[in-house]
Amino acid sequence: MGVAIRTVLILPLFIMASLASAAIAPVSFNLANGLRVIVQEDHRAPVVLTQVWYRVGSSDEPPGITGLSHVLEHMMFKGTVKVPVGEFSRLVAYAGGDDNAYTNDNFTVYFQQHLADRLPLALELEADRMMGLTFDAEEFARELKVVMEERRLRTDDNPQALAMERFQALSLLSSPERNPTIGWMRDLERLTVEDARAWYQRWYAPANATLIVVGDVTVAQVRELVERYFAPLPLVSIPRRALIRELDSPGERSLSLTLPGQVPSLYIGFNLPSLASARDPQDAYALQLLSGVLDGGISARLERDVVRTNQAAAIRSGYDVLARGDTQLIITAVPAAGQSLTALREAILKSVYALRDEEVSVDELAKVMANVRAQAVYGRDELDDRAQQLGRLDALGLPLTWDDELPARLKAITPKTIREVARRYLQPERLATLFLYTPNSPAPTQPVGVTP
Amino acid sequence: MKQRSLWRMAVGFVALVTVTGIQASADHSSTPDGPLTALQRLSSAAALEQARSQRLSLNIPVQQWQTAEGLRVLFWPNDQIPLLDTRLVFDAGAARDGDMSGLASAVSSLMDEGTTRRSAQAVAEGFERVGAEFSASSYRDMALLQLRTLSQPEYRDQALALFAEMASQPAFSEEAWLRLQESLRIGQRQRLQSPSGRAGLAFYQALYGSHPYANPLAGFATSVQSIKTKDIKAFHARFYTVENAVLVLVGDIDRMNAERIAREISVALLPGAAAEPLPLPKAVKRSQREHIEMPSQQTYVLLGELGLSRLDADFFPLIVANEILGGSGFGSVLTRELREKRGLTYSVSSQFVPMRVPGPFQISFATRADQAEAALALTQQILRDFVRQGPDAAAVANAVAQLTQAFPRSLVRTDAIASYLGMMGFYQLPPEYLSQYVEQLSAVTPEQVRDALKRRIHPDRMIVITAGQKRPSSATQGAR
Repeated sequence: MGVAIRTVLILPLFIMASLASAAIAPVSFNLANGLRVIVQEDHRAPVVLTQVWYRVGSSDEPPGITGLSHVLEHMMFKGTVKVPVGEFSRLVAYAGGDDNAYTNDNFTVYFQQHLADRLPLALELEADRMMGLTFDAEEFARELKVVMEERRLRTDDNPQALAMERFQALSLLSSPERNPTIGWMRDLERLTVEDARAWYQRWYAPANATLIVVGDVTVAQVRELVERYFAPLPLVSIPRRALIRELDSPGERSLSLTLPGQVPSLYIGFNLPSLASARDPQDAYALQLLSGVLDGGISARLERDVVRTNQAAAIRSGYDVLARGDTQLIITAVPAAGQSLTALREAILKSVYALRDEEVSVDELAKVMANVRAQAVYGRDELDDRAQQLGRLDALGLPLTWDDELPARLKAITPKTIREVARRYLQPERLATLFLYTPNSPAPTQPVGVTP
Repeated sequence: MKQRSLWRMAVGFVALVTVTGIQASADHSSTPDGPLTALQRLSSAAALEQARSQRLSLNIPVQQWQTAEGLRVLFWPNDQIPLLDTRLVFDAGAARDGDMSGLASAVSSLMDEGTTRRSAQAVAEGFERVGAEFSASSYRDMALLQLRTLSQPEYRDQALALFAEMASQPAFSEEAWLRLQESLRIGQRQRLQSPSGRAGLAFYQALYGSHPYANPLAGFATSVQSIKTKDIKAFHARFYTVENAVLVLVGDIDRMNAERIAREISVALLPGAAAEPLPLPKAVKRSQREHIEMPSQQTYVLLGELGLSRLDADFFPLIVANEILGGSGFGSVLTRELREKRGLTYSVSSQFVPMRVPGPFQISFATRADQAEAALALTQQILRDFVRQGPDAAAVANAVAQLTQAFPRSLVRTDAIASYLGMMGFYQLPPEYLSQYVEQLSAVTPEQVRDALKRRIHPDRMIVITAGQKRPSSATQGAR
């Protein structure tokens, strides 16, 4: 340990020019107890980042206990036998590190960042809380209050976030991702420390976790430390998780909502498969390109057709080809002055549906491809992003070198294929719309039109 | 081993350790909230103590020069990833708005809307074809133009030529301004719908009064309405000039190419003069309370006063003080008292925002409306005690260790390094600033921290803003 930061070198600078700057390939291995480990060496600075991914999130929660995975995430900082309440984050800070965690629909992820020679501490702390939480009832009650404040802050007092929460519940009919990760307030109010303990015992074990280490370390060094701290944990069997699926044609839906904000907004979604759920992976790759053509930059179609024509003041869209199953293309927009939400919706759908009628140009595809290639390079700059991407790829069983192979895969997709998937997937029976009105720009008295 | 050593040099980031302990007297493992008992049970504790007892020192060779046209350049070669981050930092933030609040934002928002030779669509396509990313932004002090490109010359040089054209010959068309005006207004309204946005606006206005820092970055609806493209063009001509700029280059290029790029950009930029010095803001004379009524579930609480300028003599002692009070991480006094012990808030923090002339010192959090008054009173009491007693030697040693050990983590990403260099160039910090940062922090003594706190922080002379539901008539319920 610590070899890196103690190395003092005085070498002439000209040597550097001859060094290739190729990325070091990530390495993965498993322990006998099922823990999966991924190591990405990156020697730019004497620092290390660890992430522990547990394969559990809000999409695993049955009705009545939504928000439990996230509450448990908070409890993971609240004490084990070795590291009592209040000491975890203080220890990390004492070591000069930084720690935090997040939960989403499908995963709960804990991360630490340190000087590289603090890796033993980071790993010992993660191994300790993987199966050793103590669950103090009073701590739980206090932490639940913190989570409720978090919900009020992020969702209840934020009209756009609240609208997005409703939109998910509208656009996902049967998918378990329809519930908010932070949980419905009525469920938070009735969660108990016993719920949290049971959830922990069900999902937290080496066989349901992946440890990712990125930074100024060697594979051998990580392997030795991982063996030391994690190998003593038992092999425990974990419940099976089903692939995330949505109905193929849920039917056209819309919802109008008035919230006490000042900015009306529009939310549009098409239910789509991802790489994990598409019957033919080519569909997912074609949809990824399609989404890039729509909104891959400020010269892309939505910006050109809707913003620069003064119909929207702002527009964003996203499609995650690496989602854990069926997902959506979501478009959110704020109307330009004097523009109604219904007119804005027509304008957006016109731009989207054009993809069913005409083939995208070679030039448009070239821009998307240039962006994909550049992102593969830019994505190596931030350790967090790198670890994040490795975690997502691994969770889907994709090769860790997927990003490097992506340009070649996408190259096989033709304008014709894109038009073909547009015809198949960009259909009204997959479309959901939410109209967010404000007290100053109320909903029209006429029922909102729902013709595509 | 050898291979790795070369990698390290390639970055020009030589980290070395001398075995002089951090101030050896204090019991470091005893933090303000009691001892870390886990250290007795963790098998990694010994290695940790060993690592911790060594002082980190960094050698970060930032190169700096000035072009013939007078453009200051900061450069850090780094060939680890084949990309280049370029930024131009201008003294052209909202502090230069004059009587047209929102003008600097207007200029910045129009920078990617085409040049006198190319439409916005053509400019965007030009960047996107080579995988480059451009953005423009502005703050109170600075306006920034940023470009990220792949470092292969065929991509890089094309993007840089376009970048220079955009910086010097923006189109500023009427049509684009009408559209962007609406975006700025939506941004203003979005801020007004959140309690933190409303409180922040009120805080800056109360704190800065008639000083240029008072106005919101995006201006007011009426002020933005009155801005014409001729005002925008005049602002650009006055402030986006070679003498008023710093160029930052970080990434995979050599010195020769860096010099060539700097020359080309500086020839393209308009000539002009550096901006005038800013006036000094006036300190808060007496405590001031304002409540903004909003129909939110939580009340946002914001209190503070004038803090630090970037070149302030108390900079390092107060950064240490802040780390203990409400800085990063979960170990701060405020987080412990408000969140960990009482579950009053999801997040509470204190911060200094160092600027050209003193920026704010502020504490902020959001809590359920009915407990806001009690939480505010508790926070004020914590602050009073903190300033009166001052942190002890152990707390200071811990905070110093924490900040110094955390520092290398902020120097990994190319764009983070570019931000540091931009800040150094803008505020005219010496090129050794990053290399000396750890030493400067390590030299801070508990006496300096306590003394600076007493002189600079005045718990009973602060601006206090709350935004949320109607205040209860009597705030009697206690949070303790």
